[in-house]
Amino acid sequence: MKSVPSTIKTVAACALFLQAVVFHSHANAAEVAKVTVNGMVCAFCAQGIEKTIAKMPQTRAVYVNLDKRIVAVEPKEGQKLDMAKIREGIIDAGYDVVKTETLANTTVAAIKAELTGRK
Amino acid sequence: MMKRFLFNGRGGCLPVGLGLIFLANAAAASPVGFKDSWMAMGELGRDYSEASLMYTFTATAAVGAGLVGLKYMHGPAVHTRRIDMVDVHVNHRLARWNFPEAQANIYLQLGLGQAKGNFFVRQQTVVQPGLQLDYETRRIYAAAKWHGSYAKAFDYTRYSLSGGFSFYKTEYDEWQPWLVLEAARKGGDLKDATEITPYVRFIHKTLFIEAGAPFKSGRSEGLKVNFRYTF
Repeated sequence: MKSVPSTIKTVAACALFLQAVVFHSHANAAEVAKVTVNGMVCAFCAQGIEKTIAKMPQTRAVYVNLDKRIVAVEPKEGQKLDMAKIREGIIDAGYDVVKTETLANTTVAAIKAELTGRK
Repeated sequence: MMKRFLFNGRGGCLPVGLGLIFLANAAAASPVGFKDSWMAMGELGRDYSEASLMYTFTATAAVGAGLVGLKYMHGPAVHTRRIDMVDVHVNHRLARWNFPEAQANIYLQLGLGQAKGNFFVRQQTVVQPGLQLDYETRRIYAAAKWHGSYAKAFDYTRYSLSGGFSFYKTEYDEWQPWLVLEAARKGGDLKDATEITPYVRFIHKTLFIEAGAPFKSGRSEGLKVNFRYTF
């Protein structure tokens, strides 16, 4: 009988630990924003968008691909991107957003490699 | 020449000279940068030179200040008029159309400054309106521009049409070479012959530089260099 509270404590501790592990791994899973943009035809356009997005506090990396008209944004570890802000930033830079996607478990580097065929 | 104008000019010149010119930066593409960016621009040519610095404070508007020196032939006696100016100006993107593979824009420009010349005695207030329409893809560029400098003692106007192409598409962090041809008419009365200028243009990230060899009535008019850097 005396061991029951101890077992409960152990089980509760394990549950908390597992919850923490699950939460931590979820927080580390990068959810990259992939935005398709119209009007992005020059280096100047790309730089404007890149600098605007890079200034956002959650941003870890930005990649602009003129060929595919894609802007990819990766958050800092443990942070979540605000798609509305990204959209607003691109529109403020003078371009039209035609599509937004959130891609789980990937990185900007992986998207760059996929779009350019280079690693 | 600019130095003389800036430091020996009568009162009012320097304060107004917080301003710029820029209006006539014919070949240097967009007169508005991206929000919160600075843009340094310059043009160097035999008959027209300018330097300017501008700040883009919204996605569609920029303010700047700069210097311009120009000369042109005038009147039945055909003498050379020289004018130095400083001004402040506002550039506004009136409209933009974004397409999947292209972009088109309309820009309005307005400058206010002081001018000093070799054919009038005192400095004069100069107003510099401008209008630019452009269209570009990743391989093609076309623009129509109008710019004027108007004071009590003179009116100088410049119209230009330009078009060009890039040899190939690049990503934004690669150097991209262009060939651009510009036809311009300018002068106090616009009776000046059309000036044709072929340019070689290079763009890399936010650095833009081009060199041209203008000629008029079959004669070379020297060299022109334009640059722009946004930061």
